[in-house]
Amino acid sequence: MDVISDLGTGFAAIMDPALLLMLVLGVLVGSIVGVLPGVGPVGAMALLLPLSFALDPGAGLILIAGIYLGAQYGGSTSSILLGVPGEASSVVTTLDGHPMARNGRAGVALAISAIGSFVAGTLGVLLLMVIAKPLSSFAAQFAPPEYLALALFALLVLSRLAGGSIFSTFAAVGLGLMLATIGLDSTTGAARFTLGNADLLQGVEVTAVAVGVFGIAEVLLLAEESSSAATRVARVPFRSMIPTRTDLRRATPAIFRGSLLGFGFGLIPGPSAVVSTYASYFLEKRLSKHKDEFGKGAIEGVAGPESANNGAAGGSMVPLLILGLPFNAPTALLIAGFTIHGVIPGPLFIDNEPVLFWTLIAGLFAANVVLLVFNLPLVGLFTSLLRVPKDLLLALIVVVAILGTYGTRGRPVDVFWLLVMGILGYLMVKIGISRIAFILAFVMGPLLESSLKQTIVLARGDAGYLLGRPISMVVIVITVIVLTLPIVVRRIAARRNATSPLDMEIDAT
Amino acid sequence: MTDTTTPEDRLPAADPPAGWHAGPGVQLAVDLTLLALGAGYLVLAVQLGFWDEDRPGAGFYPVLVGTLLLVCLVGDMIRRKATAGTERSPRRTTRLPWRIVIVLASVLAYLVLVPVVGHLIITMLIVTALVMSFSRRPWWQVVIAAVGTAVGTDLLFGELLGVRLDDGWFGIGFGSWM
Repeated sequence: MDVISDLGTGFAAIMDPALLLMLVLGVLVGSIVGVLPGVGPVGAMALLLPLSFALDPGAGLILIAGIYLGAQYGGSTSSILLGVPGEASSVVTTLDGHPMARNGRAGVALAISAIGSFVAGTLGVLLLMVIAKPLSSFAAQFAPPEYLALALFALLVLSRLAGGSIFSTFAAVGLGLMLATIGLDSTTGAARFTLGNADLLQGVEVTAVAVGVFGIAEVLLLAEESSSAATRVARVPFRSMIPTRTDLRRATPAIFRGSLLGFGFGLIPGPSAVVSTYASYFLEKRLSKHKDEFGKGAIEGVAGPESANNGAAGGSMVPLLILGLPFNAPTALLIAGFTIHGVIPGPLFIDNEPVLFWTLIAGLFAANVVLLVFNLPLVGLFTSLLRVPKDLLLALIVVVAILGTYGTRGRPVDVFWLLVMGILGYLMVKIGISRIAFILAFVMGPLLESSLKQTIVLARGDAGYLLGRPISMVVIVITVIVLTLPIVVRRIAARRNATSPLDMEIDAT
Repeated sequence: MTDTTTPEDRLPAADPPAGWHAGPGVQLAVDLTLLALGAGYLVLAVQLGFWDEDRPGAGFYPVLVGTLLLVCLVGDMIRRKATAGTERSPRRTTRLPWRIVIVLASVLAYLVLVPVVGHLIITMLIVTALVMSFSRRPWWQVVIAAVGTAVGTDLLFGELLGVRLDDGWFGIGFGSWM
């Protein structure tokens, strides 16, 4: 009953017209940017994050969360209509979503995608709400050694999932950690790597890094494309969006499976939204009675992955809000927004800021409803965004990126960092170094450093100190299992010289 | 038979990015720059002090980070050398598109010129440069886009969100007029 009354408090808070306005504005702006191919949720959040800084914490966080969910929703539109994924987690949606559009079923694909996203988003918040309090009580026992083990877990597991070689991923981690050490050392007060420049004493601003590495770098990638003309997009009347009974019967189980699968992946460090869509697609293909339709417009191929990436968004909120650890790039940006508003997510967040926490939860529920409303009757409005000429769009994005970064602290040095990080982000894409690993390491750097130093002091020379603490030992064991299991399994499989039927299906795909 | 692959193993390998391709020269330049950066960082980290009586000093963690960075950079260079020729070749040009230079120059121009000419003027200039480099629009459309973006962003960021935008030496901006 406590949970219900707490949630009631949250809903009462978001009835405030200013909060409601921010909620609607956040999901609208997020959807608009998410629809545009190439920008994606992380780029959208990075570009729009500074808009929230002038607001009070409740409104600011609601706005950021709305942008996150909106951008996640919007990514599917260009995948289905153009066959061009709006972002990485919508790549799988193109496999069946675009063939559905070519078969004249774009409306149904968009509707199922919106419904799946709504169910997954709502289910994700529901699960978050249920496990938040017990998990927070458990996480309150965490001390620096546990945080050290968790930070190492996140960075090591990320190296498995980020793609590319382990060396290049850890080079990105090293760069992110390095950048985070510039400025005053929080424990000794020593100025580090400032080269006598007073502007660097406060360190490198996370907004400049995020907007540069994701926002400006995305603009540079879009700038490479030769065509600046607006895209021709078919109109999607509302009537064409009504699914048949067969559509619903086939899509519903896929939506629920995708939602739960996505939520589970959201709890794991790394690009959970992307990985969960592939996992969901292959699961649906394996379970489906219509395997031959996959790749040609199977509705399960849209329903499962689109639910999974939104479920992952909900799942990734758990480590963020309960442990204060961002496990993927969007939550790294969310934590940046939290920090700028003076809010520290973690085990004490619910106890210290109950109204804010439940306002955020209620806001997430409401955002999903608003998104469903936007994405069903107003889908025509969003598809028309795909017709905006690229030259005007890019010019606007560049100006907003500069102003958003400059506006954070009003210091020109941040625009300098924006430029440097934009070049770095672009080169990272070209050379194949993970930007996700870089930004996560940058955001988690201070936590890793402080927990490492405190653990060393607490250990007093005891090399087995971490393993002597039950929680940190469990985290370390899980880390070792996650890192070694795939290698062991692959070796066993290679020894048996076995190829599973699923692998053959994938090869065929 | 059991399915032995994990979902991440099943991710299709990404295509080499389209557009400009970082050729071997650029790759080497980036590697050497990062190595120099890592080495310089490590030297400064060592000077900060590794250990301070009974606890880690200010340079303890940076020394670990710098070492990690250098080891990984060298490891990645060796790995790439070993796999050279087996990786997929890029799909497009090795020439850097000039539009990328214009985008970067716009950010630099804003940084350098905003204290002189103010937000409104520099924004109009960079929007003009960007729009003209991306398309061939009639001059009046470019002017509308430039003025609209400059005024719109000034009103949004300066007036609505309270960001202090620079009006430059000549005081051109809504902040100084209102």
